[in-house]
Amino acid sequence: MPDNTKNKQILAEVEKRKHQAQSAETAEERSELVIFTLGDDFYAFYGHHVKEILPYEKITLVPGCPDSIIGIINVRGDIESVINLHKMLGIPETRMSRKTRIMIAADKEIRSGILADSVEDVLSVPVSSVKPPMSTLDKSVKEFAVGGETLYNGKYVTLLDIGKIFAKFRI
Amino acid sequence: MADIKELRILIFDIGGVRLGIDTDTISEIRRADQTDRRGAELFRFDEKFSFREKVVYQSPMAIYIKDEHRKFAILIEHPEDVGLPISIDEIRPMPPLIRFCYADSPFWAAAVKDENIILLVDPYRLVYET
Repeated sequence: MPDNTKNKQILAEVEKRKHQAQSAETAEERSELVIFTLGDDFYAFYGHHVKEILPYEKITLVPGCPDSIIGIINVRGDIESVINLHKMLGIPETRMSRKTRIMIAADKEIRSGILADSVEDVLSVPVSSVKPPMSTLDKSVKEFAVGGETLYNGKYVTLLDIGKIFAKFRI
Repeated sequence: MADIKELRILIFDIGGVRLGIDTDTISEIRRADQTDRRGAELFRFDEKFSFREKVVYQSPMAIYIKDEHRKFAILIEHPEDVGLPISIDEIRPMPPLIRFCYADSPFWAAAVKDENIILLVDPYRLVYET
């Protein structure tokens, strides 16, 4: 039987490198992202900004409010506004469906609901995997992009900054 | 000033939105088609705001608001309730984003009654500021 010491050495080296890579990944700082859709596109918020994900419920119109706010909802006795991101990002609005969700997001002292066509996943990704936004992004989306671009199931995900979205409502 | 523990409100529906007005601000309620307006201006929600649903007044009423400076009435659909007590524990301020971008809103708060939202209307803001 031929000597297979060399193969064993190669396999040992492969295992060693794999282990090192895993250790490096474990040690790397990670971010949690909440992945959601608006129309055909994928977007994300940092997970620490998303406090709750609720099924769609009736949203009460506040007459005279800007179009970027759909209305208000009752969340266990508290009243939250609901933002229409489609309008803010210039994305055609879609019909409500069983997948429609309202994410309750918070940044500093501000909280609001945000309507999403679906919430797909909550991911933990290495911080380094979040790349700068594509230069080809639409201007209205780029305004709220946090400077992050990552991949989810082979699709580009634009990471949005909830603080920039909330700031848009301050006069 | 005595502690206010509750409001009594008149509730009505305009375009699918339930609205409430403090009955303390109301001097009189009349059927709109029988109203001798006596020089009072008549304000309509559907002329000031857009609603998701078409606004249809099936049994319109005019509510006259107490005001020393101006005679005015607001056209509403027949009230669902007159004098419904709303505890201050059931009243919530409007959310911050709405307060930021819609500071002159005539909807000063929301009441949560039996899980349903009622927008509380300040009739003076409605008439003087919108």
